[in-house]
Amino acid sequence: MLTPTLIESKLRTIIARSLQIPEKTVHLNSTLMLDLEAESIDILDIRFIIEQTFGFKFHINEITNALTQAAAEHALTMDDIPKLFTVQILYDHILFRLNLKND
Amino acid sequence: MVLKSALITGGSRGIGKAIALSLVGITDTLFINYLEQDTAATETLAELELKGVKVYLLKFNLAFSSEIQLMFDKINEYTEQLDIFVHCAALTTFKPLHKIKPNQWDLTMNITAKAFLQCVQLSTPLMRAGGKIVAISSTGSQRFNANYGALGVAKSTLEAIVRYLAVELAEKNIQINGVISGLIMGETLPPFPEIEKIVELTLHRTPARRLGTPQDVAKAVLFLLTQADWMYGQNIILDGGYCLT
Repeated sequence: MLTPTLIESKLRTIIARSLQIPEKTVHLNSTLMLDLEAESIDILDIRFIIEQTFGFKFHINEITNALTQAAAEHALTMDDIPKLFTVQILYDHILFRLNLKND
Repeated sequence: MVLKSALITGGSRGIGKAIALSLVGITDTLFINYLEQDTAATETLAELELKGVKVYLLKFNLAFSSEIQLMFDKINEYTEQLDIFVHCAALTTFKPLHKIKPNQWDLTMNITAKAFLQCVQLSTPLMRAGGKIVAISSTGSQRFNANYGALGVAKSTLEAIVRYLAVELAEKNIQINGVISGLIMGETLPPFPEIEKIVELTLHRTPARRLGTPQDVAKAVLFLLTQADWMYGQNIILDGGYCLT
């Protein structure tokens, strides 16, 4: 059975494998594009593997819309979005889609 | 004319959509695969159905063999015969080849080349009366284009697959060819670094003095599907003469 702990572990594995980095460097508060140096195609790759692993599809707009909203709330600009795009954002979205936690 | 059923991957917009529209009158059933663009896919469906074509949208990710299998399971639910398959789907990142990471390479190769092979393998049992297959390649397969290395190699692989399968499947009355397209203007213009400069340089070197359009590619595909009965395993270049200069 999928638990939040197991989901976090699987997510960290997915990101580490996709980006070819040690799993221990992937934390919930790591920013994908700044700390982990993920490029846009890497985000797509990670998304695809999340979909395969957890059995649901999602559009990256679901994430970016939330980030845009968060940026506006913090009076940040679009250029600041990479600072907000953390592993936690993906983790929360997975929990939300699996009905394990409200987004 | 006997109306035919066709599958187009990457068919919701751009070149794929132009090919779908060019098949009106040739096909009565179109299976359109796409990955992301729900709105574009729905608009393409509406446009085609207004012209009397039955359209099935197939939102499956060709990066994964399991999804390609699921897509064909769906096609098998709707038809017992497929006559045409056109592979337009491609995905990549634009950067120097020596900086491509393994996952980026895999994604590019899987969607652009490997998916074509698997789709042909799953199409051929449905092509009982023979069939026509076309792969859409690009001139980056033939020569160096800055930041195009991963897709260039994937397209080159695609062209090699075309040649091999053309020979292997000829005895099944299945004809396979490819179109190698030059730079296409419009929504399909790739998100290249310095794309404006590339367009300017390309125009300067192109004898036709214009970039291609999705319709230019669609016309060549239509020729391969309906006229080129003695052409097997060829990847024809369509670039306004760019490769000659």
